[in-house]
Amino acid sequence: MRLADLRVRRSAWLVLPGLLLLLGSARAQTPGERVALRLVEHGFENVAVAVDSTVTTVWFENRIYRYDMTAIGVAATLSLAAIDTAAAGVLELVPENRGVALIAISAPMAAWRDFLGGRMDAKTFRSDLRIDLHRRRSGAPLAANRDRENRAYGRTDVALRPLFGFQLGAGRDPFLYTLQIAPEATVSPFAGALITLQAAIRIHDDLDPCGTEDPCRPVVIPGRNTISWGGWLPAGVLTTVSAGLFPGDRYGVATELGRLVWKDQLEVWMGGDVSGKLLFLEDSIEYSSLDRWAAFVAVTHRFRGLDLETTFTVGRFEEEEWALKLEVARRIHEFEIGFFVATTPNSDLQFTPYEDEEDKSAAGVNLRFALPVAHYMKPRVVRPTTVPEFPFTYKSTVDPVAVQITPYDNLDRLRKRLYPTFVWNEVEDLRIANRYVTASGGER
Amino acid sequence: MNARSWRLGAVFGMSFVLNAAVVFGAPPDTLAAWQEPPSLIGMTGLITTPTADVIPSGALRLGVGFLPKDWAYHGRGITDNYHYYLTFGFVSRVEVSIRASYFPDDQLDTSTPEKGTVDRGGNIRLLVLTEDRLRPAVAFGMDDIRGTRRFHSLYAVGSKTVIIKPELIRIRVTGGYAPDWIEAKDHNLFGGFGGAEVTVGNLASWAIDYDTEKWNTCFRLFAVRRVTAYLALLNFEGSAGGVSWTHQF
Repeated sequence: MRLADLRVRRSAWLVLPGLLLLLGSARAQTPGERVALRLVEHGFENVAVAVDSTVTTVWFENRIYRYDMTAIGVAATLSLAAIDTAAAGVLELVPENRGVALIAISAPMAAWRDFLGGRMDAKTFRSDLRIDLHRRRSGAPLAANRDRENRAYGRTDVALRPLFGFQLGAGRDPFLYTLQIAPEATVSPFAGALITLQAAIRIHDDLDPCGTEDPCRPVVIPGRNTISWGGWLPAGVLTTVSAGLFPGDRYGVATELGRLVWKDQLEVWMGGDVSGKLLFLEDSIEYSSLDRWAAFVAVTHRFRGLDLETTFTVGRFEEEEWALKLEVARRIHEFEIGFFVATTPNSDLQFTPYEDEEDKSAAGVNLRFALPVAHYMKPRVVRPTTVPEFPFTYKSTVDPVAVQITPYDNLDRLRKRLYPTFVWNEVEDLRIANRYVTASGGER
Repeated sequence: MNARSWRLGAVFGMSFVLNAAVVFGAPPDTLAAWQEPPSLIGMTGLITTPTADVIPSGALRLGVGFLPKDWAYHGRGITDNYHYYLTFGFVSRVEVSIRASYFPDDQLDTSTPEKGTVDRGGNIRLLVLTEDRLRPAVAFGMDDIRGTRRFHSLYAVGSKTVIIKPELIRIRVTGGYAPDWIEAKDHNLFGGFGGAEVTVGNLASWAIDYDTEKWNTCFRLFAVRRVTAYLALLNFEGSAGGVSWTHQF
């Protein structure tokens, strides 16, 4: 048999699977089905699509891109590629977190195509863009009343989280630091919920109560072990509740509630916690009853056109003191830097002797860096992954000024930074999607 | 020449150069963050003095500066000074910096043999006037804002660029004044100060400054549009230096 004939005969075996594939894809005929299929194939979860005469609404949850603006850009590109290129109308994206719809971002399909393709500048695109925190373009609520595809619930992410802290000029030692590696498993069992199981392995701990030579804490201690829930309440109030073991050797319950007002540029939010001490030592566990509480009210202002946010907080904190706190922060893409000052004007706390006793305040800096991996593997039953960012706080004093539980699963984490002002300001970041997908929906 | 004459000479000299620059100078295009090098304490400047420059909004600089104990501002004659800093273009025209200074041979408590202390501080600078063809850039700033204020300065400063060949040589002259209006343990700058820097091809620069106490000179190298390394002679004798890394978000 000639070589060419042999190739033809072998190629014939490929025809049957090809036909079957075509038949399979022929079933996904509607634009909505094609969009859902593309997004699910790419790795997005909780996908739902609604198509009416003018608006195609796509709900999706991103756990494959570190930066959610990238994910929105990718979801838009894939959706546009799955819809007829000649189609007019509006594409509306509703990103979710743990099944909680966060925001509706919509624009005419032609504007999406031109902007993502680099043929339209950000200013023009913004004029076509509509961002709404509570309602879709049709006026319906954000949440999808339809079945999801590729549901995220029950899938476990396993990661190693670096934990680092330091204190300068504390006592006689110029530099104290702690370094831990924390293996962590997170799973969302149902909509809005998140379970975090974490162990903290000591690498170095200058802050051990017994010193570094003969530390009283075991090498491995429980880290942050919490069950959290977040979701919308009536009147557009978003809430989170966390219970369990928190950083700083505290256990208890913490909650936050918040609502955006005044053109979505002002967020009024409040929170509180009830906690007790839970300290794991080498040969014992020390604990106290739930005898501490904190409660605060805060207002955050975010500009349109400048990624600057200012937060003013007043509250009663764990040391039974009233405190005022002001923080000014920049959130640029995935980077965050914020400077804060907190003061306890009427406190009778005993401040450390090397601090100015009259100056009962603390200043500090919050930093948040993105960690290197920007694109994760697709979610599965158990997935090894990396943590997206490294948050770090430095405070000028070890004194307990304005201390409260650090719930971590707070409003900010639930929102995934997708505030209307942030989406507006960082809209050019949607084009980062071009690094991952082509305009026709192919993967790069 | 006594200290007063030095100060007067420096102020008049800088004023002359600044005026000459106003006559002949032209403003440069906006410079990238890595082209705004830091002084030894981390704020944009010459060797130990500020200039009327701020790094662009969203730019971050991390670095360390070293001053030998002979010319250190804190613990002079006792300990070297290491300044670790993080400087950030917070918004347009506003530069902020946080600093942790390490003094390896300083003793906070003389009853113990342990040495090594740390001082922390924050700095801010506001660019109030940008440079144009005739007008120099003008900025106000404050170093070591709160606390003990071991490295405090409150100042007004003006800078003007003379571009000989825009892509090849850039000369920038600076003059300013620092009063002692705010109570502090030490004032780094007190009186007239100033200096000049010649930058060649965005690869290297040579700078000289008068920091209200002494004259200093410095040679800086720029690499990979991120890193600045510099070697300085304080009072033209004590070797100082540093390295910084800059990133624009």
